[in-house]
Amino acid sequence: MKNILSLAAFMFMYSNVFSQDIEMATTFMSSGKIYVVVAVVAIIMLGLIIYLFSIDSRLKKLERKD
Amino acid sequence: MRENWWKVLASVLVLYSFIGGFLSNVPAQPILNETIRNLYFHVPMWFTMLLLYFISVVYSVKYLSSSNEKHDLIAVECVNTGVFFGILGLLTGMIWARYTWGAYWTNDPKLNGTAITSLMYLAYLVLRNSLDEEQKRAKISAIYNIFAFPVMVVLIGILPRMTDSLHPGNGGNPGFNSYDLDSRMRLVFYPAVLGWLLMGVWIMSVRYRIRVLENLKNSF
Repeated sequence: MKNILSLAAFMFMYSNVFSQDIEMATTFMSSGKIYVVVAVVAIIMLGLIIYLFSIDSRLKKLERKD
Repeated sequence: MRENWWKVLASVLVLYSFIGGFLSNVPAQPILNETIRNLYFHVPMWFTMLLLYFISVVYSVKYLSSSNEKHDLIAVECVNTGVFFGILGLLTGMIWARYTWGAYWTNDPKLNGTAITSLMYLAYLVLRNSLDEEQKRAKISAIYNIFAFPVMVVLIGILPRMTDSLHPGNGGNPGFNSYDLDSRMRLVFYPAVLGWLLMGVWIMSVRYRIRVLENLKNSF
């Protein structure tokens, strides 16, 4: 109980002091450049996933042969 | 193991977690800033490792009673894949630590616990390599695995919570869970965890099936 109370007090302190001051990537987001990052990451991930599927299907073929 | 639906689900969830991870709104926290998004990537690595090690010990126990070689193969491929995810978790954690705590590594119980865990399971693989005879190798490594698993649980889950730690979830620090996780983050975090759990099992199953085929070929 004491821990929760002191944690809550601490967090209130932080929110009062920092509520306008915490740097986040707002300009980066609003300029739309985040979509470049998303596209790159999605392409890489999709590529790896397709590769996994292809390994899986090759395996299936080998297993079927037996 | 040959069905596709859960693999497609894994792919969709992981892709969703990547896209949502970057585009969603996250709470603004001091020190963390945007790196809080690492939650969606760093934490699922560990959950996946835990699940794989758990499956591994289950199959190790099964092997001891069944002596079915396939159980042993599942156990070892689970450890192989689990070690890989553990290393990814360590690397991503170290980078995150460098830019939030100021150092790649701190003398922290959780960090040391995960490092020791990785070494323990690497030792499992070394142990297996040292034994030539199949059944002996499977039996001895199964017993080692059954010891290693509870030690891992203690090192990662119990000891760090008993003391002070920088790592979230221990020693008076709020963890990124229950009362402390922002609901917006839950929307991406839970699918990410589920997606990566399924991915880990998929990768393990592919390795296992390759092993089974190799064994078939070698036994002729």
